[in-house]
Amino acid sequence: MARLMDLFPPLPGFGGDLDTWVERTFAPTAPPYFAERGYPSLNIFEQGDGVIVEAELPGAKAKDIDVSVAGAEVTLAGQRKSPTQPDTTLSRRERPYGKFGRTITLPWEIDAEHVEAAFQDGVLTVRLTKSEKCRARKINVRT
Amino acid sequence: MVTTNEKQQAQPAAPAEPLDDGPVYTPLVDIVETNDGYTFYADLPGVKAGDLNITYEDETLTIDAKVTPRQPKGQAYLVQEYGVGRFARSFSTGGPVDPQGIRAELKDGELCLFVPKAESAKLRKIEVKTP
Repeated sequence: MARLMDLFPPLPGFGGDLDTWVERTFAPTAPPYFAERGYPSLNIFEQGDGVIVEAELPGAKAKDIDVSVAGAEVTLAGQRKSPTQPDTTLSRRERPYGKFGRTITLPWEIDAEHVEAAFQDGVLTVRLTKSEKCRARKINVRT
Repeated sequence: MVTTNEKQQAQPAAPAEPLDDGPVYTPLVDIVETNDGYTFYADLPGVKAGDLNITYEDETLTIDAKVTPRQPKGQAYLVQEYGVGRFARSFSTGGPVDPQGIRAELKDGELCLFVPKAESAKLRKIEVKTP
């Protein structure tokens, strides 16, 4: 049986048996926001009046991804299905599969009416806007 | 990696310049081996087909993919759990393969790559004859 050797080792933190996924919650408390690693990995940044939550979900289907918003919480959940049959023997297994769920609590309430989520090339981009009352307002200083 | 080093008379050599700047990430890969060949499933989020380079040389398969940064340089993040950059990984096949038969398909950031084994590398069942 031919042996496969790869010349670059996998990133630390991955590898091993990734058959089961546990739903994890993380709540940022103060900047820099502490994030307990869950799946998927997220990048969150502000853009104007809004916030973008970006996640890498290669191989997932848009219909298997659920994005929901409640108050200041954003939940990304869904399933990542394996392209191989369950009884296939893999020489190497590094990629995670199965159900995933992750809830993020942002420091501001989200305007649930104006949330956009797009999925392209395996990257999920969720555009959120702060709710009206949470936006910064300029206060005039009277003299 | 190719580096250039310009030397001039009576002057210190210019520092070698890397071919590209930015981080290089190792993509996660699942491998299925059958008697017909190897199937690689690689996670390459954000990669478009035009940016993907797959080469096979000297029994080494190399996957190299450029990723256009999605955010401007110096973007401030509230949370940053992953970086966006080039993906590169090489695999050494244990035996010869048929390079003409290599098939690759990229969909939603997932690469499915089939590398058929050369006929000589396939397992041949030997029939045992009984007298």
